[in-house]
Amino acid sequence: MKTIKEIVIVGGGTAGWMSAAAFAKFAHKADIAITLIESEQIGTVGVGEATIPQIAKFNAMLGIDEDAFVKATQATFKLGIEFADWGQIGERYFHPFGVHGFDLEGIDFHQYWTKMKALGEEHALQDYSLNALAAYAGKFMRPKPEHGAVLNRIAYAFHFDATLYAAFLRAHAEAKGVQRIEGVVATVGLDAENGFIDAVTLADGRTVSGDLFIDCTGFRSLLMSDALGIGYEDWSHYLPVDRAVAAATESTETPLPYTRATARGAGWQWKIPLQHRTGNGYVYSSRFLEPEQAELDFRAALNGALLGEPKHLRFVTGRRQKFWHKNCVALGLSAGFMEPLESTSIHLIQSGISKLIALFPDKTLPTVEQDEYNRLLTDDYLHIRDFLILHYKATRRDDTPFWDYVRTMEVPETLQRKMELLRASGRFFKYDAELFDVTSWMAVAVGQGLAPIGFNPMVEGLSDSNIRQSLENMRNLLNKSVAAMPSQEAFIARFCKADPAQVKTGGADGRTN
Amino acid sequence: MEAGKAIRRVVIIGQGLRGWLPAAYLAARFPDGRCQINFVETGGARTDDVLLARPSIRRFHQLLQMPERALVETAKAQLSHGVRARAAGGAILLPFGQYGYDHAGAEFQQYWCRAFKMGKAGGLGRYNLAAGLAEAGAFLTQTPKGQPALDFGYQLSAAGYCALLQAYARGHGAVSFDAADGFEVRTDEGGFVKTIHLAGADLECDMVIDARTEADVLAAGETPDLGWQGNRLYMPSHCDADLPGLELYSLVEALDRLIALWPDKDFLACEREEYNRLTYAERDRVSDMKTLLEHGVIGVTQSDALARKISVFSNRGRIAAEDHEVFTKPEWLAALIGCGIVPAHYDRLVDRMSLEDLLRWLASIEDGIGRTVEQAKLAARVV
Repeated sequence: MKTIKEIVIVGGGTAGWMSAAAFAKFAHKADIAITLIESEQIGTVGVGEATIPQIAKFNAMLGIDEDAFVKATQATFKLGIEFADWGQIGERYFHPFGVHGFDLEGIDFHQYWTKMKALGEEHALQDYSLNALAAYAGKFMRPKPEHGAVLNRIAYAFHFDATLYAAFLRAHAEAKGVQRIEGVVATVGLDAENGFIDAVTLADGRTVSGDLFIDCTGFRSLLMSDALGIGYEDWSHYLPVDRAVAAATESTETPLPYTRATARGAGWQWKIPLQHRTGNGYVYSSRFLEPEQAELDFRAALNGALLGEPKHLRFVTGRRQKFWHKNCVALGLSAGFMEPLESTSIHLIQSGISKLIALFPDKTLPTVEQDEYNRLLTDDYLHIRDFLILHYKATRRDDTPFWDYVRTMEVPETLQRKMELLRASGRFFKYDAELFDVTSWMAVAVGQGLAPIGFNPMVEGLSDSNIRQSLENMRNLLNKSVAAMPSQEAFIARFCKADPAQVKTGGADGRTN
Repeated sequence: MEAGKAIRRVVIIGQGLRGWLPAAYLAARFPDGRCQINFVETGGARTDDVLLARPSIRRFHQLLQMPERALVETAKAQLSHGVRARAAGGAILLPFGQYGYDHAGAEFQQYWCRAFKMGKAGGLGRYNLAAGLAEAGAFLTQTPKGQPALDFGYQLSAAGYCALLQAYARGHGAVSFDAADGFEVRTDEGGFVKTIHLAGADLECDMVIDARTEADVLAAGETPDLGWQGNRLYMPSHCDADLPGLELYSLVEALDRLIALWPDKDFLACEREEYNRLTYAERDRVSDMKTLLEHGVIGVTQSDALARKISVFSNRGRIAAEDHEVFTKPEWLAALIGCGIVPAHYDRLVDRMSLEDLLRWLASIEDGIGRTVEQAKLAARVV
């Protein structure tokens, strides 16, 4: 057992530099040295060019100026995700950040909406989302209390170039004293007595020792898996996609303030607008589709000209059985991977970092903190997993063997219970610090044909005409507010336009590589 | 929903406050009379005369639009800034407010712990405004600028509060029936309650809220239950002189859960199960606190959650919060410290502040709280 004086981060992708920047924030005053080892020979995966609103907290914690960050990463703003062809081919819906409508008399908005729907109301759930309305109008502005209660409800995240984000954080971390070592890790040395990691040896013979090691080596998981032998829990029976083919294209339109996720024959295809280009990828299941055919299908669905050859990636959805073991913590892809459908990869890195900081040990030994960390992270993964499975389970598609499989597969009991409650009368209760809330669950369930059959009888407290009038007032208010917003294009031009001279085109464009 | 399926008649069974509170709550939720609230009042009387209401009661009062003046005049309400709990080693005050301030990513107790271990800080309670006010018998309804966040509940006269709720419920259409001579619950083959038979009347019901205490249910020769079975829902019966405040809290929470899951005559199993899941979680969190207070940290606990709380706190002063916590972080902190735990370590982040700055900072917080408490005492005397 020893006092932690040196943290060694192995791997320099998004996870590595996010960790380095975050630990650097407190480490130098606590006399902890941070070293990050990465190699330019090993490509980074650049997970997740799309994010969820929680990232703002991470950036704020680092003291990052948001406009500078947007400029440096060619970012655009994200108000939610449009899903096409998921419930059935030809259908589409919007999963917004933020909330739907306004609650009345202490009862959730969606209960009133469900009742009116049964009485023939034609407006979709998303017509009550400020984010969805703004997204389809191509508008964006940041929430500010002085803009009034309605506009202050905008919730947003970013689309950005993950490689540029890593570079941006690298500059930030190095300025705070993080030492970067260029090199490839060849072997990992363990203490013969307690099995802790002593040091890593690089291909050129140099040895880097440390007290706490952060495994950011991606799917390989050089430390946690190879050296410490922690296994992987495979979830591919629930989430069968295991390959992706990804490439950047030239933009053919003004960047939209939302991500598009279109269901395909054996998976789904993303489209992520950045300031300088568009990111694309087809995530599919190799059990149902050959890579060659996947690439053909992928290319056929692109709009703009390709910027480089498509890259093929493979992965297994699941999680590491332990996230923190002995003196090693796995962050990023080495900790687990769930497909990028709801942009949760970067969030899970961030969640791991903030929990590790909250539970930071000063000696390498105590297992109390490790157990708590592993428990909290496991919950995070499971809650997100269930929400992702919902996207596949809640479908009526029967046009390909892939959709037949996911439509009819058994789902975890935790998800089954949530679906039943939601289906019966639109009830939803969060478990623990669950990430996705009732807005998300309703958006996906309703959007994919699993709308509640009944509603909370408490809504009978308001007369039908009263509810109808209230809903109309809400729509008017939201539409008026959206009309007052600037376009995203104008907003970016005014505050955070990236310098075209710094446009970096080469390199991987996958969010998963 | 088909109109015929709506719940139109609710019967509450209970005594005094335990029955009038759900009656008033439901009367407020169904202001248009589309659901008749009948209250079957059983015999027996309360023995306690003072009740503690935790800060969350104020949401209930908002629902009722209960005037502050009525609370003061009829229910003899006094502000309360904490729960005085009885523990194995003596009384512990669980405060309704924060300890100092979290700073630069570390919680206040981490800073305190560093200084305390060096013998350079007093008890943690000195850095909690709510605790200071509670000890001094002084009150504030708002957090003064630059002071740790403060909340408040009430001390209430049980009889007066009951009278207020009774007047409200009656004024909003609830009707009471005397069942001091007994009553009979009549069910159908499926175990659903159909009528409550009284000496003078048969009350038909779609749903029964059984608000009797566990002891009363036992005395009637029935089996007490915590949850919701069929169309009968038992109100929680957390009532403990050693840990006041739970009775009103758990009644209102149970009603909030019920309204969020308000059924129709189909009484779906999945909705009942969700209600029960949330109810059992609440019971477990309450039981964790009671176990800690009764047995201290050396007691054997069957609860993983409590064992985790104790070990995580003992090691580095962190509070491992669970799902559906009843008690706030400051209350857990007070209980764990009160049981004699001094964390073995503190968070390294704290070392970012120089010792000199830390001691100056702690002194200024203690000083600010001391002065605020003095002013509040003075104000109380003037009034």
